[in-house]
Amino acid sequence: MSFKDGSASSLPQMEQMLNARPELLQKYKDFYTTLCRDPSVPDRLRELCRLRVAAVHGCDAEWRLRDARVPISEDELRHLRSGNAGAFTDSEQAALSIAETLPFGQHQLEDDQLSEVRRHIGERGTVALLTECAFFDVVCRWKISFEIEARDRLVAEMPLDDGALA
Amino acid sequence: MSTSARVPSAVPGEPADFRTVMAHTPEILGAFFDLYAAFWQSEVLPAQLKELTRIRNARVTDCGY
Repeated sequence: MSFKDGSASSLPQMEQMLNARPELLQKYKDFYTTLCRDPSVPDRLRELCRLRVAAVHGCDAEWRLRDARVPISEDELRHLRSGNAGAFTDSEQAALSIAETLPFGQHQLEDDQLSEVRRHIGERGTVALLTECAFFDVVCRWKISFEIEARDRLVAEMPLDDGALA
Repeated sequence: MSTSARVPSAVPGEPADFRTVMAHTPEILGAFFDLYAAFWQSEVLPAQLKELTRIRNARVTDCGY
């Protein structure tokens, strides 16, 4: 039985698979939820970065999730997909430059990129945002590696929908 | 690549490192350590195998820290 198709559970595939390690699942949820609720990074900034990391990876399973609390227009989605950061505000561009670089260019991050993020959201926000982008990077790698199915999903509150992982 | 920490330590008197920089966000730091501890305390994989993969991952990503 594979991880992917062995259950008729109504739980999302991500949660079904992580539930193979129940001792980790709750800690994983707790960590991810803590990241998504950190007040130092605006929800919209976090969601833009999550989607840009997904686009950089070409991870449809992550890209097709949407945080219901953060409406993003079709135009903005198109710009996120193509990497046209110029369509966004200064603070969003600063954050997106981190999301753009981190997945495959962590050694190319420049002092100026971090300084610009600090100017907008402070030291605490910068630490939180960098951690979030790094985690989104991990989630995309995980979903791609396990070939998690991609489907459109509006999540009540990232990363959880009615308590289940998206 | 920067030669000094881009965000200072949040712990007075202590140098900037993973823990002290992450301490700017204590809730995230706490949740991370809980998850990381669960990884290492789990007995599904041998500790030696986890350590080998951790070191190999650090090498592949060129992370000298």
